[in-house]
Amino acid sequence: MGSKGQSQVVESVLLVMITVALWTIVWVWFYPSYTGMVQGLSRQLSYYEFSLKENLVIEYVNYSGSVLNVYITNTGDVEFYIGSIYVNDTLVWSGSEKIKVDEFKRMNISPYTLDGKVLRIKICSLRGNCWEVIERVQP
Amino acid sequence: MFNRKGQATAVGGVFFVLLMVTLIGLFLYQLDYEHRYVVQSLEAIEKRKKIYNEDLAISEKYTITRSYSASDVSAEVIVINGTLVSGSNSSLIDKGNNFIIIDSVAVVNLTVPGGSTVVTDEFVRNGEFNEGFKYWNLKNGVLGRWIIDVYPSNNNASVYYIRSLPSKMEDKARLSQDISVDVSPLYAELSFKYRITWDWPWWFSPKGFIEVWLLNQTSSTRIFGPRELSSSWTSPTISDLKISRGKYTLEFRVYVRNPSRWFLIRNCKIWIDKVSLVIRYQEDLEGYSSVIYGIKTELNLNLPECYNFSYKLLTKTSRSLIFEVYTFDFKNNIWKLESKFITPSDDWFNLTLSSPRIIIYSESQYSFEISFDYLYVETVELNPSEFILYIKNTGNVEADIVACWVKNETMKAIRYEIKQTLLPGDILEVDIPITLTRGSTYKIRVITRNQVFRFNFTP
Repeated sequence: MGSKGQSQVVESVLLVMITVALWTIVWVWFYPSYTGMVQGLSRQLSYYEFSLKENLVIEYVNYSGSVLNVYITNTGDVEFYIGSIYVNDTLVWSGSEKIKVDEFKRMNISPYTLDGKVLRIKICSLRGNCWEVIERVQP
Repeated sequence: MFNRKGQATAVGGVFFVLLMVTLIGLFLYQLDYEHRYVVQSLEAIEKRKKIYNEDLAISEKYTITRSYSASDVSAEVIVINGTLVSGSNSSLIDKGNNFIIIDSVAVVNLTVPGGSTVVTDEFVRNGEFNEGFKYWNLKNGVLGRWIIDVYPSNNNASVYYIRSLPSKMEDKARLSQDISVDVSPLYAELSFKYRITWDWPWWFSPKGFIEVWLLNQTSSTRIFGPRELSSSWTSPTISDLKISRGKYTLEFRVYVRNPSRWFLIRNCKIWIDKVSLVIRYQEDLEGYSSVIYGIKTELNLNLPECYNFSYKLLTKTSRSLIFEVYTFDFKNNIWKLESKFITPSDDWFNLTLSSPRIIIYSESQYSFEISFDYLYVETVELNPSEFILYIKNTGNVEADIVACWVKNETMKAIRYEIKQTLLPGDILEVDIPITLTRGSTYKIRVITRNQVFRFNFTP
């Protein structure tokens, strides 16, 4: 081979190396965004999965000594957090009360003034699921 | 080796390949994500669907059956009519021994005095000659003889028949029946009918007479006639006959003569029919006396508070009787007939009853005995310690029973953890260990994984 041929090979190798180097720069810039997006999608998917597996039964409601007791059982497949309780569309309790799978729990709403015999009680989880029951509650 | 244009193409190709690999990777990941999300959603929907197909039938049993002996219920036998031969209330406990035996007493002593009545009887037998000349005595004349003949309407009659009655000739005959009057007549009446017929000649008639005599051993009395016979029926009635108790002969005497000097008479017939002797007399009736024996016994039980009860009283009667059982109607304060039946003779039978106060009554023309052996009482009472809740899965999917709640007006709600799965058609029995109060309404809730089922009952 002559010197012209050698310089062309070197030129080509340099060009490929420059291309890979440029792509590496592009990838280093893109990869964190890509990974973040994938992780976000995974989290969203998990959230949906858990949300769909939530279920709650409001077993019984009674009123005693200015306390409204709401008896609930987590009949879903995942544990979750009670985020809020509404009575007749009025927020009467909010917080974060964990309830395990198959756990029976009494939620106390105190103080509560009974202003009607028929109450519409709605319990919402932090994942946004809500369960509602209409009860005739007597002191 | 490469020119400038070729180099640029190679670099662009490498960029394109790398870019496509990245995009395809992202696409596949998104596809997988969507797939998993849809699958999860469908699973959740499938689970929620159960709520619409889940159904339970809830029922309860709060009673128990208990048995008692006679002493447990203070059974008391009171003999109202009858004589206690042996036994006492305690005998009802002892099966097979030591019976209560009650003998009957006269409950009705009936005496009907004798009297008299007026009776009317027929004393002539075969007065219409339907049986020929049975009971009748015949005495023929010289020319004729007694026969049975038929006239229109198919009626039989006795006929004195002379085939040929020569000129200026006469004949006579008798027809009689012995009558025994064994009563003292108040009134007697004789009736009959008669006529005479002949075939030839048509231009003159034979001369005939009829007489009726009543004969007895001492006297002969003509009670009718002589009367001339005619060709049409004559029906005389002899009322108020003088007749007394005794034996008589009722006799018909007929006479016939041919008045012609020149002609004989053909087929001459003297008809007698419908002979009747009606006697009215007084008949004495005998007095009548009868005794009716009976037993009337009351049985009282002191039963505990219960929903229902029945008892069996092992009983025997010395003869087959019509047995009447009355129960006391506490509301109206009266005894009502509960049942009436015929008992076997001298054999044990069970008297099954469901009233705490009964009367047993029976009567007969003959004296009899009633024996009571053993009293067995069965009650249906409120279960004092628990009740059973029956949960039946009437839906078409399995039902996960989580718990149930029980409460009434006074009792705080109590929760019973169950945690059982029922397949369609399965029944779950849950013993609820609480003491129920009669008349109180109990509210039951059965909690499944998806919903709450409600049920009320009042024991």
